[in-house]
Amino acid sequence: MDDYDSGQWDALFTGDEDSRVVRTGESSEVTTTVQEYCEVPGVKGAVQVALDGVLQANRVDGSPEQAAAITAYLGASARQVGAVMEYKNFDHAHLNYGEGGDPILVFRKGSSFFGLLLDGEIAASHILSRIRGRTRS
Amino acid sequence: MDPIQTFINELASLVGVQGAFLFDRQGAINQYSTPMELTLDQGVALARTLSRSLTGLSSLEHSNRVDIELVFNEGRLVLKGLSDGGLCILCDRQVNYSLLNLTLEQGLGLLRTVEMKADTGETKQTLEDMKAIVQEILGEHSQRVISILDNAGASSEELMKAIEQAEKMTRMFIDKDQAGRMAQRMRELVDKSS
Repeated sequence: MDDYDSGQWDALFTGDEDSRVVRTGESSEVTTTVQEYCEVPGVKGAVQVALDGVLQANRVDGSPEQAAAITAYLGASARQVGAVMEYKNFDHAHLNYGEGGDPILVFRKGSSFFGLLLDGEIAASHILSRIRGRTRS
Repeated sequence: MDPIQTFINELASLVGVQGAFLFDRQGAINQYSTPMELTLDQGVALARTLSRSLTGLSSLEHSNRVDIELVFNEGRLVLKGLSDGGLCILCDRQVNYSLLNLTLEQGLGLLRTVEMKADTGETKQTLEDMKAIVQEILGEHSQRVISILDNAGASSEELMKAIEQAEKMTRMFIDKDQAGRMAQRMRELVDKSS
């Protein structure tokens, strides 16, 4: 089975070396990347999760642990499915709960998974393009 | 031909779709499109993985209906959660998503109707068994609790909510010990049936 750190998993965007930890007026800790993602229209909140599931940063109203757990779980599922299907390059995952609950968009950047809580009004693919454009520019 | 099999074959015949299959919560493949561009080992491993993912993600959000899309450079997996498993569609990354969704919506309606019919039968039996427990424990005081159960919905979540309500009511107005015993037995029953 491929390992996340084997080099076969492409980082989606540029590395996260430019992510700095910043303090907000509240007690939560956020990185500049998480903060930037939250500014994209259609994104209600964001979590940054290490590959082992540890919550690294968040900007979420409500329970960041829940969003982090979903993000980590989805990342792990993608890894397992990729191994079975012999797909080496994970791009993103999108999860939708039919009975309420925020849709979540998950992708990998550097050594973290990011989970974006969406408001459901803008398509996940548009948000992803927007983020990619923003990060690469 | 079985309408569900027809639907699965129809999905697989769309441009950009490589195959589709239905699997249950235990990870067994129930129905699949032919030809299936997966080896047997891959199919079994994939169904098990997807089944675990669906179960895990459903429990995290306490929701039965989870839809997932996993996108890789090499392809796309579309996963639709059903009450007892899910439907997996293997596609090219650049599949015509609108056309796929249109076909999916029609077929998922059919799948969920079949499920709902099966669920309703099971729920009726579970409800009857729950009422018998209430009657046995509360005897002449059972009427108010039974009316709570009569108004409960059909899903496991709704039954669990009704049990909670019944427990509170019994604890406040009848007896604390009986409330706990009754609720525990009813919860076990719902767990067993779900």
